[in-house]
Amino acid sequence: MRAVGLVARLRYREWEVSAHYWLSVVGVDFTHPDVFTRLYLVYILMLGGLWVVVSAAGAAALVHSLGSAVPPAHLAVGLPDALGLGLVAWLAASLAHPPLRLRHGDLEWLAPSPISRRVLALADMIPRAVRVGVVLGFGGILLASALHVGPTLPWGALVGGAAATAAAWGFVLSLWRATRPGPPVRWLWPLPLAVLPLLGSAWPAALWPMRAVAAPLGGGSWAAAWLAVGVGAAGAWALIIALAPGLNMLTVQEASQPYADIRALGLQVVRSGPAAEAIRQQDRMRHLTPRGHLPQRRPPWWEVGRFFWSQVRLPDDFLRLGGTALIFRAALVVVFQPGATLALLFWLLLRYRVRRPAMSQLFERDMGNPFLRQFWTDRAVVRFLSATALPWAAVSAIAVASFLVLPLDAAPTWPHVLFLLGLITTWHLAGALVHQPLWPLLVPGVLSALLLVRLLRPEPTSASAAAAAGQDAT
Amino acid sequence: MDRIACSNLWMRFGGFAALRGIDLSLPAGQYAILVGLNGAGKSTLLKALGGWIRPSDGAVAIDGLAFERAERRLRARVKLVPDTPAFYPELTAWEHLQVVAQAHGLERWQSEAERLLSAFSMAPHQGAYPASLSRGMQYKLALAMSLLAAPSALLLDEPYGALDPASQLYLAERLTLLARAGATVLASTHLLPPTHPPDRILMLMAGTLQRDALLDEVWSGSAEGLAALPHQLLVSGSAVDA
Repeated sequence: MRAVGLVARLRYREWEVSAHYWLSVVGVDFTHPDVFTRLYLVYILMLGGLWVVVSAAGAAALVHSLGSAVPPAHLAVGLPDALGLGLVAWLAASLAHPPLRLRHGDLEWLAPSPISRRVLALADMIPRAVRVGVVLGFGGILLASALHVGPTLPWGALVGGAAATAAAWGFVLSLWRATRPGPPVRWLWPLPLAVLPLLGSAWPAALWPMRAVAAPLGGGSWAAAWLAVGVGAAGAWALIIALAPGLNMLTVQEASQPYADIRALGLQVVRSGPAAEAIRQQDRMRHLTPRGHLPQRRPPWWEVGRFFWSQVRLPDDFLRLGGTALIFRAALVVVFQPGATLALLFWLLLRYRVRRPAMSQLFERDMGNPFLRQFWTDRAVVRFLSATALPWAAVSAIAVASFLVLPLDAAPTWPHVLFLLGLITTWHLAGALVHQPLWPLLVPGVLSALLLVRLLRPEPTSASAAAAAGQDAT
Repeated sequence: MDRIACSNLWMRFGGFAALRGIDLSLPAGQYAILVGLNGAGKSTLLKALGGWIRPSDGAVAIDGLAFERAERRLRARVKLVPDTPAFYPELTAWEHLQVVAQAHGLERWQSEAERLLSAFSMAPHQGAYPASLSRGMQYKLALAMSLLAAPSALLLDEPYGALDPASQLYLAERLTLLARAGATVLASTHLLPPTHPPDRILMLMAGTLQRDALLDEVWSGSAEGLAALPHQLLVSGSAVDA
């Protein structure tokens, strides 16, 4: 019980310090807690609450309009599959991450102490399950309300419970991976995805808990649904309690280091995403053996070799180039298929998953840090052109290939290809000139462009509609 | 002409002045050390002299050239090794030296690079990524990169603190040789190896240059005395300051 009290006090203090930090970021000065500070705090909290309500209302409106397009019959077929695939993805992600993510203070003092591992595991897992349950439960309420099926609130609660259970099962897998005496197996995470095709015809049978959760939406049994969630939750929590004492704290400490470093950045994580990325990258590189060698040649072959090996050794860099090319795929959809909103959303969502865009990673590394910068004695513009020519060529090649291979409303011609290359070059040079990634401007830009295209498109007049009807009749 | 010179150098961060009107000139061929308590402004002074930060007031010149006018030319001549240097995550230790040779257009650099890595006991790690090196080894790699570039002005932030005793001795010898060859070396430090003493000692206190002396003026000549010199100076300096 003493351990529970200690960990609870520590977690509360962490929460308090974190809340003070983020409130001080928005100007709440806790060093002078006078009446004005308190009033300002109330104002900030009300503003935050208003923002949450407005965001939730916006999300509800969006889901409502999308949901009305889905026939309930399709939902009965698709929902259990969607829930099942979500669970598999969650389990795969859990196998790739440590069960506990300790902060610097915990790493120094808590992890090496003889404190109960079970208490540590539960102190981490219970708030996580609550968070996941609340967020996805709210999603469930939105979905039920959007589809106009079943009682909204009870189904939201059911989805919240199911999500918390799924999170607990993910935790079990992560915990199991971290109980080995040696270093954890690194390539376990694809296992749930690999099992998926092996299930084959057994997949529908394996979906019975998901069908049970989805059933009340169509008038099915609530008792069966809660029974499925309850049995799943009981099994998961029993396993957590059984596995937690065997937790290998060396594994947890090693895996927590980058998370602790990122948390310690505080506001910098928001201001400078690359700082957090660099921490993760350094952590990955620590465990890798270098492949290949830089060629000992003169420019431009040296630059070619450097670009090639950078992409091979840092797959993130290559993904970023692919992500940049996806932006131009979205631009092509806007220009050549203006009505295809779903296609546009697909490419933008895909791009969100493939890192932030960049064609100047190598240049940023050359010039971004003063220590490395001092070794480059050529002009900044020469360095820029040398270090970014090949990334530009790679993005152009991928974007043009997507134009040629994936059809749009207009067949690609040379002027089209030149237009695309011009767009890529302009984006690249503009990004270099303003020294800011242009990605934050993209989504509002594309959406505004879409809106403009819609607004500028001439509405069919009654005469043209009649002519079209006449053509149809012939 | 002085190799490194600054006059009335001020550096303010908000309301705090890290440097307060520093006047300093270091001729070619001199190896000087900079001592001072934590927060005295040593790293800030080195960064200002290396052209990494723009002073709030005053001027810095290397060989009579200001960074504002000849940044590219001076970058080839001045190298600063900070206490926590940054590296390319995707390049090995050896490839970092290759980048330096490539960027400086060095010919037949391999033997010198091998010599540096071997002297710093880094040869077994030349194929490793910087992320897998310890902090001391990362510092050694940064030193090797800077020494390979053969700068005419070398600024070092706490070079000895991160090194093992054998590497400290080698670095002291190497810095002395570099100075004898005509380069100017300025190193901030709290400790000195017992051999290869510096030519000059500067003491910084609360952003002001409180002492500037040639070595013979403050050192008795014994190896123990040399090693204890920064400590002695700081203790007496603190007493004076207090």
